Amino acid sequence: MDLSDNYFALYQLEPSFDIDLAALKAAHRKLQTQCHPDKFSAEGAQQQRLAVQAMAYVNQAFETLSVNVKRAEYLLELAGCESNLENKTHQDPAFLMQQMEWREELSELRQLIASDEAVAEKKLQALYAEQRSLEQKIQAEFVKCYESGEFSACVAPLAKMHFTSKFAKELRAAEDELLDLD
Amino acid sequence: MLLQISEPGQSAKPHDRKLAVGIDLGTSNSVVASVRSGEPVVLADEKGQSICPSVVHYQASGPVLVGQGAEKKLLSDPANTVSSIKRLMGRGAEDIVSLGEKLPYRFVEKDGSALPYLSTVAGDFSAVEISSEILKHLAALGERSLASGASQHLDGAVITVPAYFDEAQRQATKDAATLAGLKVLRLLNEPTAAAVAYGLDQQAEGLIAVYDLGGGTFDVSILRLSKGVFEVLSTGGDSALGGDDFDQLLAQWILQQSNNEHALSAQEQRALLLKARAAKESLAESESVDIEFAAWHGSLDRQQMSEILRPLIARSIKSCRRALRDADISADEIDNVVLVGGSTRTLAVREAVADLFGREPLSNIDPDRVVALGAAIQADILVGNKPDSDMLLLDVIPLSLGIETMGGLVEQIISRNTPIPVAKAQEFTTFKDGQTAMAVHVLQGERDLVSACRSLARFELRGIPPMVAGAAKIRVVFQVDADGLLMVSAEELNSGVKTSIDIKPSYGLADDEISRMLSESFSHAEDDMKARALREQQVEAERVLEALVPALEADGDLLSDGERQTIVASMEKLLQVRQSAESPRDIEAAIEAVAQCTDDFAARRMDKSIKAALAGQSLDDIDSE
Repeated sequence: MDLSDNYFALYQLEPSFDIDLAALKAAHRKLQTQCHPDKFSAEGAQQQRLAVQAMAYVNQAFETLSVNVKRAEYLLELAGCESNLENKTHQDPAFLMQQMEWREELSELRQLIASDEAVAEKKLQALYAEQRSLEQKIQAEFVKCYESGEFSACVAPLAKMHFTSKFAKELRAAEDELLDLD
Repeated sequence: MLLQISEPGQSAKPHDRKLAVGIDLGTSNSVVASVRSGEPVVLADEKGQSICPSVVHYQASGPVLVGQGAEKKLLSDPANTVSSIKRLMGRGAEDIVSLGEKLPYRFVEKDGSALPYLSTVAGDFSAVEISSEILKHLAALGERSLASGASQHLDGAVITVPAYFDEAQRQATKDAATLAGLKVLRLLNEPTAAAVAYGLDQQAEGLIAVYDLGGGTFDVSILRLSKGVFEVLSTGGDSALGGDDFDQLLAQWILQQSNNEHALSAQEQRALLLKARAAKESLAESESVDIEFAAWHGSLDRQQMSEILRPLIARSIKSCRRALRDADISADEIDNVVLVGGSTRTLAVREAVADLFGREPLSNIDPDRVVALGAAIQADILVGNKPDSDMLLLDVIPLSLGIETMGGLVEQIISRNTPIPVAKAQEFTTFKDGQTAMAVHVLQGERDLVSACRSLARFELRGIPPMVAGAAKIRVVFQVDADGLLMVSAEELNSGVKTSIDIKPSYGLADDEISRMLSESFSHAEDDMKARALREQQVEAERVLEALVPALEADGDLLSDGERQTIVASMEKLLQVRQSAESPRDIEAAIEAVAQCTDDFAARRMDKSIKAALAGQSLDDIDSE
């Protein structure tokens, strides 16, 4: 199938990091109602197969565009910049320190969850706040590089975005534990 | 030319109502429903029974009994009377041990199959075959009550499965339907089906939580309803938690109270379980119930039962909290809570659910019938009886899919609660010079260790062009369709060679096993099988032609004259073969020929419809929700 449009074009968007997520979601709903396989159930197996592929493509596009770090990575891919992230993470000593610090905080948090839930909750919220503030700073850094066309300079903030989003996931897992949901 | 196609020879009448049913294939009971005069109704058998016990009885000679007739044999012939077979769907021999139940059956292994087979006087049967007996029974019931005039056979069925069923359990259900000769329009998640029945009944909008506790499975789904679209935000559950487990716990309690020392025979076990179930059901109505077992006389009240069942109910409530969190929704944001499944009649369950969500749950549609009713509504739409319906169900995958990597670890490819259909690609490379094959182990579950996840299948990729180690780039695409079923394809990117894939389902039937079973089950009625296959292909041919005629009229401008002529010629051939062919294979070949020359056309139409969905308005004009 000729779904060769890039994900932004599929949603009639200009490639950019800052996009209107509510509008993206509304457009996505229109596409879902248009190409869901159930809308082709009365037609033959061939049209069904195509609809499954189209729907899978559209769902994939939506996920890529709606998740910050995936959208950033995709922007670089469109710009023809292969982001080889593994080599880039450890070049910024300040950020490396930050990573080590967070790792320690996280293990302290886990101990607190077992010993004092109220204090753990407070620490968790503080770490969430730190994570969000740093993430915003890094995203701004990414946008600045991207918009000035320095794509290779985008790789470093992208690597950091990967780290902060992974840290957010770890915080969420710790919160699961706190909520007795793990 | 086109008019000739749609007019004289065409016996397909697009305005004929097609026969479609929704089937709730439950652990304890099964129900079949259909839409009649615009309303979903449950179909009853000749005795007026609409709830069919999911029990199958095998006799040394004579027919297989299903339903009430089989249920009567539970006590007198436990080894040949199978109940709760749903719990064994998609499961392997070692799972039976871990289910923690004392099952009164004798299991045997068969060469080359990981599936346990139940040994009965009529032969050895897998869970898929036993389930297919129930489906055959329900399909026949549906045909008897729906057939009229030219429409004698079912055109399709929507079969419900627990939302928390893994891929192997879904595949087993679909295989059972195939064996029963049913065309599966969709495997629909039970809570989603219930939401459909309630949503359409109450014209509800907003957030719905569906708490579905059946005989053997527990599901919870959080859905958002808006303008006919049912969007599942998250789902969770436990595919081994249900009323059967309540019965087991209560039976243990009775055993303890009675100080029973000797080992129970299969018959005594069955009797004890039936007693436990009867006591549980009485307590839905009354405060206390008297129980007799062997020499023991005693009583059980609601309070005691709540205490006994507490750990199980707590497990279900934890799954609800998990699902709420996955949907990023708090319990008090839920607008409606719906109770589904016979086990929600237990008072302690209702109280726990009301307590979590802070509101009285709805149960005004019979919890034993609501799933089948919702499935019937979906079946009516999918079979093509309601082309103008706005209803759309957007469901998710309940458990993450991943592959085994070095060190017995699982790398997630598709995470749970991802909307389906979905496709994800993963690239692999070779680690030896000249390597031409590689094995991929696909798993389902949330844990990091292979040993803690469900093994779904092992794929062998063959035909990789020999290269130095690390040079081959093999792109494997994992696609999950709207039924939640997985398909895998692979391609070597440098050479463009498609590698072939051998699928070995860990707990399923291979395709050739299914065809063998199909031919065995029909061997005494070869003509019947052939007639059915012929009819199926004729229907498919009609569907293809019916869809293509308006497509050509609407989007003919996407084709060159030459392309159009080729397509029309293939359609005329199909029309002719459909009428004259005696072999289903001939029709199949003609359909395939049409499919081949309309491939590009179909893709262009899909592209056009995607563009049309957003055309004429920039994103700014689209109302945000």
